[in-house]
Amino acid sequence: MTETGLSIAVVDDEESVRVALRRLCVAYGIDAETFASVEQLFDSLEGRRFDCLVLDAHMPGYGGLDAQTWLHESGIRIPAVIITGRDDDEMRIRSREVGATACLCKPIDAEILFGAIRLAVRNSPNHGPIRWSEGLKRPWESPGAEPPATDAPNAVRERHYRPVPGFP
Amino acid sequence: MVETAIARDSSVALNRFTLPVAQLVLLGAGYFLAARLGLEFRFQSSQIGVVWPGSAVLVSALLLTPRSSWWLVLAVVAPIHAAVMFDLVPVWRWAWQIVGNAIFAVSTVEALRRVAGDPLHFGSRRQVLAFMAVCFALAWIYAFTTPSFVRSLLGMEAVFEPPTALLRTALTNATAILLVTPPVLLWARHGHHRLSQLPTRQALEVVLIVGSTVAASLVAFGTGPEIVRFPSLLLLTFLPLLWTAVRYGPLGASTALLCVAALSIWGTGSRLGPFVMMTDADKILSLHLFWILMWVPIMLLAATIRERDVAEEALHRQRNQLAHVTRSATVGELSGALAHELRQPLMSILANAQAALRLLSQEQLDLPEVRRILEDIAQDDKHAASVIGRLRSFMKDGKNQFEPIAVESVVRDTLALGHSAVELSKVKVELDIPADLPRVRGDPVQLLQVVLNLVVNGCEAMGRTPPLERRLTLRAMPQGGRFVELLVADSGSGLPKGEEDRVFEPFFTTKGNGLGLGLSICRSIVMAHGGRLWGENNPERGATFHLMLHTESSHDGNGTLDRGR
Repeated sequence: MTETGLSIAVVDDEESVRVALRRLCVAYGIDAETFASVEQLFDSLEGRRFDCLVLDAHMPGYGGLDAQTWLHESGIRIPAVIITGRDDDEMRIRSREVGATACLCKPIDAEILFGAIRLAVRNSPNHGPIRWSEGLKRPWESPGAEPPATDAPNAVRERHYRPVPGFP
Repeated sequence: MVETAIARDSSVALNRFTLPVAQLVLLGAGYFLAARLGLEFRFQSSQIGVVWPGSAVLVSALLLTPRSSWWLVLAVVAPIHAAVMFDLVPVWRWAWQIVGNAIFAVSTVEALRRVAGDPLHFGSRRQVLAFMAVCFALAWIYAFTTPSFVRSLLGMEAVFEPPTALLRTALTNATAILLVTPPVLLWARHGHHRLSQLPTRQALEVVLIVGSTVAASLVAFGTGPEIVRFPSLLLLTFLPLLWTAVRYGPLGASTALLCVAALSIWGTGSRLGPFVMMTDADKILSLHLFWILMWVPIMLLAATIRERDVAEEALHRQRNQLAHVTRSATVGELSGALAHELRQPLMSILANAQAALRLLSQEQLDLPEVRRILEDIAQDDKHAASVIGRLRSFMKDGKNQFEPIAVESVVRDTLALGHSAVELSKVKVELDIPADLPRVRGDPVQLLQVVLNLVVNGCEAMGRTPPLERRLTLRAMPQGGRFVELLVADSGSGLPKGEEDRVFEPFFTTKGNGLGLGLSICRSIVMAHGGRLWGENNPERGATFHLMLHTESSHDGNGTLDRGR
């Protein structure tokens, strides 16, 4: 399986995950650029074209799902895959609602990750480079910016009665 | 191999054989000594001694041995009794005594086991009173069967009137058991253990107690006839007895009582002390009354204090269990966040490993990159292990021992354990902990539990606060040299107005999903540390929790937690 020629953006706050994912992509012949936060990604989106976004759902500040929601609501359709450290059905449903192809729970096998990326790229309409000037404001720049309700039910507050695999 | 097996076998056999033999020899010696003392402690004209410790030794020995070995005890005691009495009384009389004593001792032990409970520990008021009641009841019944009473009843002996003989025999045996049996039992069961665990400071106290007990007894019973002018001096013996009862429980109290009683016999027998002007019969009765009147309040006091200690210990144990249970609940609440924290390194490890595998299958091998990958894998693996390690140590059922600990390390451990929870709540944590803060004294796991609870609560309270304004501040400062105060301030929804303190009540919760025990157990942990925990609303937004803890030096080192024994 080779995805040669694809160019993707990976957003994850954890440096070790960023480094590892970039290595993985490079080993599979994919051109990957990594970002530590949604803000960093948005700052460098101008005039760029990524075949797919790989977004970590839980990050300090704005999460990957927030980013995908804004892009989706602004009519920008970039293929996206959400990755998360939490096994969370609600997250899966919401990801699909905002146009993400898949919501994958870490740790993610390379075959599955690249399979999802391939699927995302294949299903999405061909999109061009992004132009912020074309009416999309960075969400935190708009007055009274409130993050979407994605993280309103507080992360800590949720209780997990299901046994989490691999947890003592 | 065979030789060692034989050696072990023989040593077991030796143990099985020598141990009871040693005990029986000890019993024989004890009984002989007791009988000789009983004979010594009789005033000139009396047929009956002041006290007959022989029966008390026999009762104690029977209480300490299983029923199946009683015949051994009786077989050892009978010839010794005969040997002691051989020259003094006719054969029929000591034979009568041996049989009577055996029946008396066996029935007393049976009654004690049934009424007072087994084993006798003298640690409850009920047991002390039951012990006394059984001793007196059986001693009275026994008194009806003794040669001196029967013969005086039949007019064959003119020394005593029948009622006097009855009273004297009953009191002699009852007081002997009251005074001798408790210390013998308690020393045989716990004496070695208690002595070997005695700290130096307490050893000094024991020496002082022994000294003052002897001194008070000597003043009360060992001074000349002038003591009669100050009969209140008799009460002097009460002071060291009280001291012992309060500090050393039934074991100490019963021993001190025996010591006072022995010195009172010696003093009265040497024509000293307050009873010197009386007739011998009155002297004996006075001594008996004195012992009983001392024994009852002192043993009851010791038992009451032991009861209180036991209750306190049970409470302390329950609190620790509850703390452990609420820790489990906290871990349950954090499980999602902790799973997230473990999945991160697992993700990196998997991605790194698969990248390395891919690199290895390529023609041009980039060995330096593979080396870097392996290093990162090792690093991430250690990180995952540390997450589990922290979790395990948090769940450990603590040893509940106070030790000096830096507030900074408590806070650091808290933020390490709650790292994901804080991060997932998108809360920014600000720390203001001076490096030169004095250390506090406490149980590290329980303090971690308290601070983690405050941090998690703070994060939860900020669920409705815009993410960029979610701020949790942990600030520590010394308070007047004796305390360190840790503030945990959030910018959340605050405490319910007007009833800020209700959040510390059990089962009070403002969250939909909490047990409502977190803060209440936190407060009881802090109070067990001699500290304080309270919360108040901030002027603008959110709430601040204040945690006051004793500094290492101000604490007396003997917190409620490790009180008890």
